[in-house]
This record gives sequence, structure tokens and C-alpha cells, in this order.
Amino acid sequence: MPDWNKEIRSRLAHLRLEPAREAEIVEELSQHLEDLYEEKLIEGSSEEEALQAALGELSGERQLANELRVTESQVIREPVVLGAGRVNMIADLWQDLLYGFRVLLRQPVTSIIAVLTLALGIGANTAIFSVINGLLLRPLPYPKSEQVMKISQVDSKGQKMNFSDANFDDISAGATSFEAMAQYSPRTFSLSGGSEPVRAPGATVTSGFFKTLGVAPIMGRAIQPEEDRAGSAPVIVVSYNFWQRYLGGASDLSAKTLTFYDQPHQVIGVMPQGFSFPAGVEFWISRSLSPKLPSRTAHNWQVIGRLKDGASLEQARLEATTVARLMKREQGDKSWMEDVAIVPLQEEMTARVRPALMILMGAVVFLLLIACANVVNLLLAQAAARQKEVSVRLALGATRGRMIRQFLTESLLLVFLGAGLGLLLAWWGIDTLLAFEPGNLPRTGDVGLDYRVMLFAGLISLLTASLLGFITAWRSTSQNLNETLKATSRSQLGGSTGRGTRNLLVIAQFAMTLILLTGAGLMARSLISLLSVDPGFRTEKSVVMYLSHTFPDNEAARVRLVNFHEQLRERLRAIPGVEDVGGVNSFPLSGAQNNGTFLIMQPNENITALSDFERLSRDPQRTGHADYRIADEGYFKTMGIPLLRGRLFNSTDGPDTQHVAVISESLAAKRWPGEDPLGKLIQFGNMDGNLKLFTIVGIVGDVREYGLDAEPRPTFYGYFKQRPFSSYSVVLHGSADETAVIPAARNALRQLDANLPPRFRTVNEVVSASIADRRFNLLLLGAFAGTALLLAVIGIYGVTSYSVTLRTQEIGVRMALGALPGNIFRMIMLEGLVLASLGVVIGLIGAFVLTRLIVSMLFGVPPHDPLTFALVASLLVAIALTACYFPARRATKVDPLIALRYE
Amino acid sequence: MPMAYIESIFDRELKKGSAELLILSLVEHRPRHGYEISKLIEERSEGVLRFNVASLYPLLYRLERRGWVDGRWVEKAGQRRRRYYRLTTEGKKVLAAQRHTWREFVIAIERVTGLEHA
Repeated sequence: MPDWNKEIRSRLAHLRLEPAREAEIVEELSQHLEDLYEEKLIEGSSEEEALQAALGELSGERQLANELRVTESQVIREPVVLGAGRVNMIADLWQDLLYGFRVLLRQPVTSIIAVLTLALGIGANTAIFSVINGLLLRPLPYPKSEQVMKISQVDSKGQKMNFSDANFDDISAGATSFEAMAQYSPRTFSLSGGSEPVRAPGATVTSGFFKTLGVAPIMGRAIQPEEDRAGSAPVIVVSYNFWQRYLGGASDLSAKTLTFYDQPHQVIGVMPQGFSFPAGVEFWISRSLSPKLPSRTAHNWQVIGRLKDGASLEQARLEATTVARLMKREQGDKSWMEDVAIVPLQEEMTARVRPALMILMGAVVFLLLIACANVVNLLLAQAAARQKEVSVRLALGATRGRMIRQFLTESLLLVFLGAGLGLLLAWWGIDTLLAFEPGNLPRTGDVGLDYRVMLFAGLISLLTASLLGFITAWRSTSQNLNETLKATSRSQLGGSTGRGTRNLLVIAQFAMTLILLTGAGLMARSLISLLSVDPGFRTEKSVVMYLSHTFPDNEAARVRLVNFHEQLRERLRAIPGVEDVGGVNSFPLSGAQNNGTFLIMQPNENITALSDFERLSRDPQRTGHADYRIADEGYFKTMGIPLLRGRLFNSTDGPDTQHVAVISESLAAKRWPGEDPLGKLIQFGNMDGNLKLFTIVGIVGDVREYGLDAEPRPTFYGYFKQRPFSSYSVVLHGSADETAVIPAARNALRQLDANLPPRFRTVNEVVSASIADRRFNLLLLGAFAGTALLLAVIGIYGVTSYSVTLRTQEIGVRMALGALPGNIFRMIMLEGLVLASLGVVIGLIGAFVLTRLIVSMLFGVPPHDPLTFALVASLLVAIALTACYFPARRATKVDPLIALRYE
Repeated sequence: MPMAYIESIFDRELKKGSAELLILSLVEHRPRHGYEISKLIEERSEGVLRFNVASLYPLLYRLERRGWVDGRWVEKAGQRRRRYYRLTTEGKKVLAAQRHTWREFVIAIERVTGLEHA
């Protein structure tokens, strides 16, 4: 009997029908031929004739195939072999996705770990990038904000400084590239006249200020040029929030005045919501109370300018430099301005935080790479388990490209899930980040998830997915088909090359982790050495109360101010547990401070006008430079600043006796080396306009006023009773707890003047806030390094553990041949040690190169600090060995008999 | 154009147009398998109409796909299983409609061509 099935099958082969369907059709048709054949035989035909008749039925085979192709086309399904050459991309993709989901669900723990790991990496990157985006990339919220420049004077040492009035006038007259230029000077004011007295940051500005920023009031008007003149009616523009909070959002401003410096200021305008420049400022006042000073060295003003449309930055710089050079030639020593620096405002505002942000971004990129390495390791382990599946599919005709696509889809799925979770993490992380942020980041309001951040997250996710997919796919499809198919034991799967890749990944992880840990370690050591720095004053059980008064511009006001503080001190000293009370015009570590040039005078010599001051100051022999403070008799004792020589201020010093001064150790050493400064006469009238001479009566210890990491500056202290000052901070010290002292002190002040709003801080808080930046950076970098360490530990544990599983049989053989558990243990541990050590060595080299980038963030520790390097390296190796301990122990428990039968 | 060629086209198109009607009619009252269907067409048309395997089965599958007939494997003792086709409810409606159309068509042809039953 002829084989009808074969005849029919051969004619249908090229249709590639679904196998089950094909079998049905073949069966039905061959029955037909069979029936026909038998009938012919019964009718008396020869076998040959019957055969021909039957085959004749198939004669229209083209027709058969064509007809079947049409009728069966709707049901053509994926051939059994997933991944055989096909053309339907969309269907493939869908299928890949479904299949990918199934693969992920098959090993839920692995998948969850992978997704979480990726979420961590992507989330951290997105969070840090969103900060960078908000601060560095998003333009400032002003029209054509790229045209707004910060302008500074530059002295002979290349230092940037504020402008003096006269220098500003010359530059603004000479710089034609600028459409507008303005001076401003921020400080804290005590205002009354609103719903309650308030101490708030404000700025004195010139009329060009709002024009330069390109922002107009939403209500009322801006400050006019004629209001720049001294003596004009003082006016104030307020922020939207201030208007709402203290002026009740009044629509009629004409009746609103705010009083400070004892002067009512007419409210003339309200700025749009969100407008606050310089950062945090709530109102802007005209400079009618700040007359122009002729001095070219009274560096009181910050300056911004707006470039004309089409004017280039280079052009503006060239022009300003030319003007500055000409002026310098004209003015000589009267002016310190050698050059002018013009920097885009955005750059200037973020210059301080840029390096730290870049370091953090680098850190999170490392973190993501480490996370990727872990996920690749997981996927490779999984791929090894799927080796058979892959080989079968390749053998059945799946193309390698198609298989790679399958793996890519799978990793895309993983990364997609990870990225979703990562975005949530970033969203939450940004809030946490900003909550922890010590308030030193500019523009935090602009930080958030916007389209740029989304784009970034999408991009890194895509990169991550491609990286993961390609490595896994490449590794798992490049195996020798025959070898894999023949392999019956798991010990031969995953192959030695697969293990090579995984080992390399672990080494890379350790290297990167070491770099991160070294960075964090160096910053931690910086913080420790910073905390051990003696600030020069006492920090325990001390509270500072910040006050600002009306500037005492006449004798009566001066007397009033001095008396007020006399009474305040009395009341504060009466608080139980308060032993010492003292005051100073500017508390250490609290921001902007005064400094200037003084003259050393001969006995019986003095000047009568500030112009003489300038003339005499040209002789470097008789000038000195120092920070200028005003303190009272209690200050040094309260702060624990030691008296080294001479005496402090006391009751014999009054407004009418010789004005006395105390200087710091470093000023004595710097200005009078090998000389006795006691008794020297000093002219420092340029600071407050009072030309009475000071006599130096004492030398006190140095104080780190500008930060624990900044060297103490030479400091000059005048006596409050003789030279009263409007800003004044009062320090309290005693046995009482700070929390008890603050309400009592607030109460004491209120009884004396209910309209004077104070601000309290413990001295510890002040010190702590001064290093908050560093602590914040350390916290972040430490968190990233810690996470990296965790991932690296998981990585090496995974690899070692997996390798033990793969080598169970080998270990069994070794033990059967007489290896002791100790030998096996050492073998596995050694393997881990080699990986970790290689990583550590490479990491050390990397750290050696990269820690140079964070020099500016270090203090008291060199970037190549051997102790930190050694500690971090040994920590890493120790942790790696701990991670390998468990798999190694497991290896020693292998039973040779069971192992040999293993699979 | 040679006469034989025209005849062959005419023949093929006629067959095509009537094939569905023929098959549906044959399975109207009882299920039949493919070989039986082809045999009956040949016998009842006295050899004028003949479908070979290559044309019959695709047609059957098409009718089945449209839901007009329903194919089922039936096993009988001592025999190989066979696939029997049965007219579905949907198929019955189609058959009625096709019969009606065909009748009208034939009548129309008769009127036009003057052909009469002998």
C-alpha cells in the first residue's frame, strides 16, 4: 500500500501549517485517496492504475496549496519553535512581552530583587539629577534670564569683591553692552507697621533692579530713578507673600507704610508670587537712607546687569575690563578695582554647590553601574538555568538575533518596572533630600520632576536595559549548541566563560564600591577633624539672641541704644541659671561680617575728615586690615575667649573717655610682629563715621568667625558703650539648660521692647549649622556608598554561592579523593578573596585618581590619606570574606556520595 | 479565441458557482464524509460534475470556516475514524437562499436562451 501521508505531507510542507491542523488534513486526505485506491482495485484496476488514479486526485496540487493557504491563513499560529524566522514584528514583540512576564513570574524572588536593585539605581540617579536640573539646568525664572549677569570688582589678587558706589558709577557709565545695571545690598531688618513686628530679610536696591531682572510689580509701581537720591521719600516694594501675610493682601497700598530705621517707608508695589531675589528676600527698599559714599574702598554693593539684546558676554567683559584698567590708572591706590568679573547670574548663584552636585552625580552613576552588575549577575544565573531552553530553540531554528531580542525585551521589562518604582523612589527621595538639606541650596523651589527629569530617567532606563539585555543575550546565546545539548549535568552548564563574565562584574563592583567608600571615608574624616577644631569660643550651654535696631545716627539715639542694652543685660542676668551675658555686633559663624582698612596713628595726631583717611591710607606703613567688631565687657567672658595680655573693656571706659579696643592674637602677630601692640593708636572711623581714635588695651584669643574650616582672621574689637552698633547679638551662658533660657530671655526682651523681634539659636546650633553642608554631602555620599556596599556584598555572595552549586560534583570528587573539608573551605574562600582583592586593587587605583576631585570638600585630611584607603580596603575585603563564608561552609557539607549522583 | 478554451472557462466558472450549493445539498439530511460527497456528486451528475481532492477539501474547509457545515471525527467499530460533515443551522439558511437564487438564475437563463426542459 502506498504511503499517502508522505505524498500529501510533501505537497503541504511549504505551507507551514500549524502541526496539529496539518496532521488532521493529511489524515483526511489520505483516507480519501485510500478509499479511491481500494475502490479502483475492486473495480478491477491494476495496482499501478489505481495508484495513478489516486495520485491524479492531487494533480491540482498548486490549487490545493493555494486554496488551503487562503482558508487556513486565519489560523496560522506561531510554530512551536519560538523565535524561528518570522516577519510580524508587533506580534513578536507582544509575544516576547508575554513570554518575558512569564519568565519573570517563574522566579519571583529573583525578579523582585532585580527590580528593587534597578529601582534603587535609577531612583538615586533621578533624584540627584532633578536637583542638578532644578539648580543648574533650568533657567532662572526671569525673562531672557541668560542675559542677566552678576558683576563684581576684582582686586590685584584676582579676588572678587562687592562694588563701591564710585566704582559702580564709573563702570555703569562705561559699559554700553548693558541695558540696565543695579546695586543691591541684602540684610535683615526689623520692621513694624504690618500686622505684627517682624525681623525679615530685605534688600536695599537701586531703581534699575527690577528692570535688570525683567520683572515688574503686579500691583503698584517699582522704585523710580529719582528715588535713588539720598533724602528722597523712602519707599518699599514687598513680595507677594509679605503682602499677604503682613499687609492682609490690601488692594489699596496708599495707606500702607512700614517703619524701620525709625523712618516710615511708603509701600508702593507688590512683586509677583515666587519672586525673591536675592534668595529669601521679602522686600526691597529704595536707598534714600543710604547716601552715596565717595570712598572707592567701601565695598558695600552687589551688582547685577542685563546685557542688551545681541550683546555678547565676551564683548561686555572686554569693555568692562577696559574701563576698569583706565580707572585704575586714574585712581591709583584709591581704588582696589583692577578688573571686573562678569558671570551669568545662574552660574554665580550655583557656583558654590556645583562641585558637590557633580560629585554626587558621579556617585549615583557608579551606584547604577553596580546595581546593573548585580542584575546582570542575576540574569546570567537565570540564563544559565535556561541554557537548555535557549539551545533547544536555537536548534529548532530560532535565529540568534531573535533570541537576543527576546532577552532584550525581558530586560526592558525588568528595567521598565524598576524605572517606575525608581521614579516613585525619586519623587519621595527629592522631598526627603530637601527636608534634610540645611537650607544652603539655592533655588530648591525649582527642584522637582519635570519633563527633563523624566527624559533623563527614560534615557538611563533605556541605556540600562540595553546594557543588561545585550550582555545577558550575548553570553547565553554564544554557547556551543551541541555541547550544551549534550550536557546532562548542571555542572557543565553556565560554562567557564559565563563564570568569567560574572567574576569580572564582581571585580568591577568592588572597584566602584571602594571608590565610593573612599570618598565617603575621606569626607567623614574631614567632618571629624572639623568637629575637633577649637572654634576659639565656648559652645556648651550658650544661647545667642540676634537683634537689630534702628541705626543710631545721632547722639540721643546712641545713648538710648546703650541704655537699652544695659537694661537688657541686667534682666537677662537675672534669669536663674544664667551667669554671664555679653554682646557683639556680629556673631561668629553667622554670615556676613564687616572688615576694612585701619590707620595706625601717632600720639597727638588725628584726622578731621574721611578724605584725610584716604590720603593717609596710601602709605602701607601705617595701614592694616582687620575684621571689625563691636563688643561689650561681658562678651569675652561669656564666650570663653581668653584674655592673653592687657585688659578687657571695663566700667572706667565711658562714651567720653579715650575709646578703647581689644585685638585678636592673630592681628597682633600679623601687624605688629615682635612689637607690643598695647597702647597703639588706631583710626578705624571708616567703619562707622566716628573719627575718635582707639587705643589698643588688650589682646584676646583667636576666633574662627568664618567657619571651622577657615583660618581665624585678624580681628579688631571696639567697645559697644563707645561705638554703639545697630545689629547686636546677645550671648547668654550659665548652668541652665538652653531650652529653659530661651523663653525666659524672650520674655525679658518683651518687657523691655515689645516691638523688637528676636531670633534665638543655641551656640551649638550655630556651629552645627556652619558645617551642615558638609554633613549633608557626607550623608548623601555615605548613603550611596553604603548602598553600593550592600549591592557588592549581594553580588559576591551570589557569585560564590552559585559557583559552589555548580561545582558540587567537583567538590564531591575532591572529597571522595581525600580532600578535607578545610581544604574545600579554603578553596572557596580563596576564590572570593581573589575576586575581592582584584576589585580592591583596581578600586584603589581609581580612588587615587578620583579623590583629587573632592579636595575642595575635604578638611584636615589629604585626598590620598593612607589611613582612609587602608581602612576602606580592609573593610571591603573583610566584608567580602564574610559574604563568602556561608557558601564556603555549605561546600564543606557536601556529601561525596550524594554529590556524585547529583543530576 | 479557440472554442475549447472558452468552454473550459465556462465550465470552471459554472462549477465554482454551483459547488457550494452541491455540497450543502448533499449534507442537508445526513452527515457525510469527503469521499462520499465526491462520489455522490460524480454519480448523481452522471459523471458531468467531478471534484478531485485538491478542489473538494479546500472548499469543505472554507464552508466549515464560515460555519455552514460542521466537520467531526467519527469512529466506528473496526474502522478508521472518518471526518463527517453536517449542515449547521446557519448552513440551512444559506442553502435555502442559494437554492432560491439558483432557481431564479436557471429560470432567467431559460427565458433568455429559450432553453426548455425536454
